[in-house]
Amino acid sequence: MRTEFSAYEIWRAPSALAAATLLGLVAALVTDEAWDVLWSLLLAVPLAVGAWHWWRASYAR
Amino acid sequence: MKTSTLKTWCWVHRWSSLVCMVFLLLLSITGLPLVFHHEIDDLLGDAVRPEVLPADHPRASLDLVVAAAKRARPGEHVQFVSADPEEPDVWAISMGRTQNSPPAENKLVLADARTAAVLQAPDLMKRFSYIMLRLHADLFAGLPGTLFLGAMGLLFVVAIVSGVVVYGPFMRRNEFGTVRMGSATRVKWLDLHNLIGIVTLGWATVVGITGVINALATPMFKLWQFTELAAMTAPYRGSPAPHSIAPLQRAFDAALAAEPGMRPGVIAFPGTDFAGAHHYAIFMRGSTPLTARLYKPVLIDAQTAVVSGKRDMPWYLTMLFVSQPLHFGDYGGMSMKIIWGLMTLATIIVLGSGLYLWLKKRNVSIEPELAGAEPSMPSAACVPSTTQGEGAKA
Repeated sequence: MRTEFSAYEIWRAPSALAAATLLGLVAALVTDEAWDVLWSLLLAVPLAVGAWHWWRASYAR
Repeated sequence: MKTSTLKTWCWVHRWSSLVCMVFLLLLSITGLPLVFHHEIDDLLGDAVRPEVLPADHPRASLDLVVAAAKRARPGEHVQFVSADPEEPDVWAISMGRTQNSPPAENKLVLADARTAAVLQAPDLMKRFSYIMLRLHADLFAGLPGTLFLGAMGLLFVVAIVSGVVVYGPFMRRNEFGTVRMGSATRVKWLDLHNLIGIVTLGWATVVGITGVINALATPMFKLWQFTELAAMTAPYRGSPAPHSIAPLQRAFDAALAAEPGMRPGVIAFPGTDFAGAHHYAIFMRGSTPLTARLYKPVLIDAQTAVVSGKRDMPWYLTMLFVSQPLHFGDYGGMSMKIIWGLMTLATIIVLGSGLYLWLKKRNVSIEPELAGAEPSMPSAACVPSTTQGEGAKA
C-alpha cells in the first residue's frame, strides 16, 4: 500500500479537472449555442468524477 | 511545507471561509434560481411576451415607442431604452423622476418594438427573479450592499486559494477521491468536503472572481464616465444644453450607419450620466457570441443627430462584460444551466460541510482518524486537535 504520493500524483487529477472546467467555460462563451451540449458534457466531467468517487465510497466497497 | 506555514494557511482557510460563509450560502441560494430566471418567469407568469406577428413585420419608429412610454408614465423622463437579445421584439424603457435621477429608482415600461404598444406586464419590481437578483447583487442596500458582497466574494476566493494550499499536504497519503465512509461522520464529511471542493475548484474560482469583478461595476462605470466619456464630450464642455433634441430614430439610424456590423444594445438619453448633456449615447453590440457581450458607445449629437464620436470600451469594462455571463451562467442553453445549477448545489454542500466540520471541532479531534496524516499536521479541514483518541464511528 502506498504511504506517500508525489506532488505530481496529488495534482494530476485536480489540475486536469480544473483545466477541463476552464476550457468548457471559455469555449461556451466564444462559440455558438449549438455547441453547448458538447461544452456541458466537458463541464460535467468534474461533477461526474466527484459523484463516482462518492458513489464508490458509499456503495461499491 | 513547514508545519507552522501549514497552520497559518489553515488559519486563513478557516477564517476566510467562516466570515463569508453565511453570505456565500445566501449568494448560492439566490444564484441558483437566477440561472433559470427565464424559465421561472415563464412558470410564474412573470414573463412578458409580445403578440405573434409575421417575422417580416416592420418595426415601429423609436419615437413612437418613447411617446407610448411617456403616455404610460406621464411626468416621468426617459433615461434609457434597451433591447434584450433574447427578446428583440420588446423595448424596455427605463423612466426616472428626472432626467438624471438615480437609475436604481427607475420604473420600466415594456413596449412592442413593432407596434409601439405598451405591453401589460406584472410589476417588474415584485417579480420573484427581481427579488432574487437584488438579494444576490446588493441585499437591497444599493452600492454599499454590492461592495460588501464583493468583499465577501473576495474572502471566498481567499478561502479557495488557501483551501488548495492545504489540500496538497493533506492528500500526501490519501489517494485522489478518497472518502472514508467507514470512519467517523466527521471524517467522511471532511473527505467529501475535500473531494467536492477540489472537483469544483475551476468553476468556483471563476464564479468567485467574476462575482468580485461584477461587484465593482458601478465604480468601473463611474471611472469610464469621468475619463473616457469626459474625453469624448470635451469639445462640448461649457456649451449650454440643447433646447430641443433630435428625434431618437434619427440618432439611432446614425449609430447603425456608423457601426454597420453591430446591433443596438442600450440607448442612453441626453442628460443621463452615461451620455452627458449634449448627446445620445448608443451602446452597440457585436454579432458573435462573444462580441454580443461587449459594448461600443457611439455618441450622437443630440441636436443634429450626427455622430460625434465612438470608441471601444477600456479594458476594465471589457473584463466586466466578459465576467457577467461567466458569473451568472445564463449564456448557454438548458444543458449549461443544469450544469451551473449542479455546480451551485455542490458549492452549497462544500460550504455546509465546512461549517459542520468547524462546529464539530470543539468537541472532538479528527486527527486520529485521518489515516496517514502526520501526527503533528493539522487536518485539511484546518480543525485543530482539542481531544485526543476519539474512536472510529461517530
